[in-house]
Amino acid sequence: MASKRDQLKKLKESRTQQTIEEMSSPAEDKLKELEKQEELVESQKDHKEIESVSEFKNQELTRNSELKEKKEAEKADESTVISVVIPQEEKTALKREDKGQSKVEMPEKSETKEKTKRTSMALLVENNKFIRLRAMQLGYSIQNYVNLLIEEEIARSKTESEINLMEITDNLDMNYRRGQNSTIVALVLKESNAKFLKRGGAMLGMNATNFLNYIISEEQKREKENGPRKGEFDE
Amino acid sequence: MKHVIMISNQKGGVGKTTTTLELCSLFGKKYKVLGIDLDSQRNFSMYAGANLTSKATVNEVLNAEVLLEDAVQHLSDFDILIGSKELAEASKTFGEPDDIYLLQDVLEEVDTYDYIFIDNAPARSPLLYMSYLVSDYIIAPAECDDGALEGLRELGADINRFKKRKQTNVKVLGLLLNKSENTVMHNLAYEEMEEIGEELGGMPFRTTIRKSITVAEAKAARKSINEYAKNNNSAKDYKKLMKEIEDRIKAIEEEK
Repeated sequence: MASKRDQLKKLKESRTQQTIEEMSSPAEDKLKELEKQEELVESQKDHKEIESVSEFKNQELTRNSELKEKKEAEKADESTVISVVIPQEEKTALKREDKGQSKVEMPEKSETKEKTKRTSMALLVENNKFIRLRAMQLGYSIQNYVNLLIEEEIARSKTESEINLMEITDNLDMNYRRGQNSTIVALVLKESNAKFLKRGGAMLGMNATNFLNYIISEEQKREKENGPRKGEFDE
Repeated sequence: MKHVIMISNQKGGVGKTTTTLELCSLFGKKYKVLGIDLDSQRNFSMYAGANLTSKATVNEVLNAEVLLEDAVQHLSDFDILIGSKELAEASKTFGEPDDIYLLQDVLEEVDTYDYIFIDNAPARSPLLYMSYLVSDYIIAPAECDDGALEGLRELGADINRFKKRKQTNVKVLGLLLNKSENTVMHNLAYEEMEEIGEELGGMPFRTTIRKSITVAEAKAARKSINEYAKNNNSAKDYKKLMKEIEDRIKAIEEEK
């Protein structure tokens, strides 16, 4: 039995033969074409004869209206010309705005080295106080200080063993304290750091806010145990 | 020049059919487009509003009973070759080793279309292999789900198998995160897709398709989302996706 591929070939070939047969006998085709053309010409003639009178009238009417329009246009003074020009400028301005908007709609990731992400987080009041005070004492801006703390946490997460989940729940029950005694703080985090907060937090069953609170609380604990860290201008 | 693009993932319910319908509808407004439904569920044909009672389906075309031009239905934006329930038996019907070239034979001399999109069933079958052989590009949708991401890896393994035998030159045009939401898990899924994309040689599209209930409404209305609710988020996302697809194909072809 012939394979499906062979059958398909045959089917295609039979179609092409059919079309060739239909297209054959060029003399007959020409005759048919000529007949059609003649019919068309005759029908057009008939139409022309019927419409010729009305066409003539129509032509006159259009001529008159065109003349009127021309006269009106000549009468129009320069102010109208200006009024035509201004909207064109506005239009181009609008077009520019449109283009700008469409660009805004489709943001593309810019390839800069230091990508940052604006975010706001509900920090516990004591953590907020701590970062503000320590950042000032150490000579950092709050943003730089927070980024530094996260970067240190990233380094720690790479070298140290995993964070003890029990310790977190024992010492600082973030879920319980969520929304209590907290202040919203606007932060500009490096994108990698923001990603780490989300990812690391998710791994520990916390959201980014709670994870940042945890990091700051841990920093406080470390400073209590090991003494304050040295700042930029400390010797 | 015609571009054959298959939409595929081994996992079901990731948005293959929706993506095919939207792309056919959007590209169809600009180019000459043919959509082929290779899924026995025939959902693509159904959602596109094609006449499902027609006896000329893709099954008849592949079985060499009808020619493609006679089986194609002309919809408002694009042409469609509807699916058939009989495709469920494809492994039996197209069991001969030679049969995987059938679709290639069917589309070989077709030059009336700029883009041909193929909707695949979420299973390994001769139909999927036919698609691998005939397609220039693959778009692989996935959602935030371990199974869907695993499906992408399996797709990669499949393609490599065919490439080793030099049976296909298909290229992964991009991975598409579907039904996306702004959550940590979805961000993680996108990052994982980036890793898979590096393995497959086709990165995820920057555009992700946001989840929307309007997608289901549009299907019920037998319309594409862009026709049903053009200001919907998913509809806008698909428009962006179209632009990205055009750009990627252009870049690939300029490299050649």
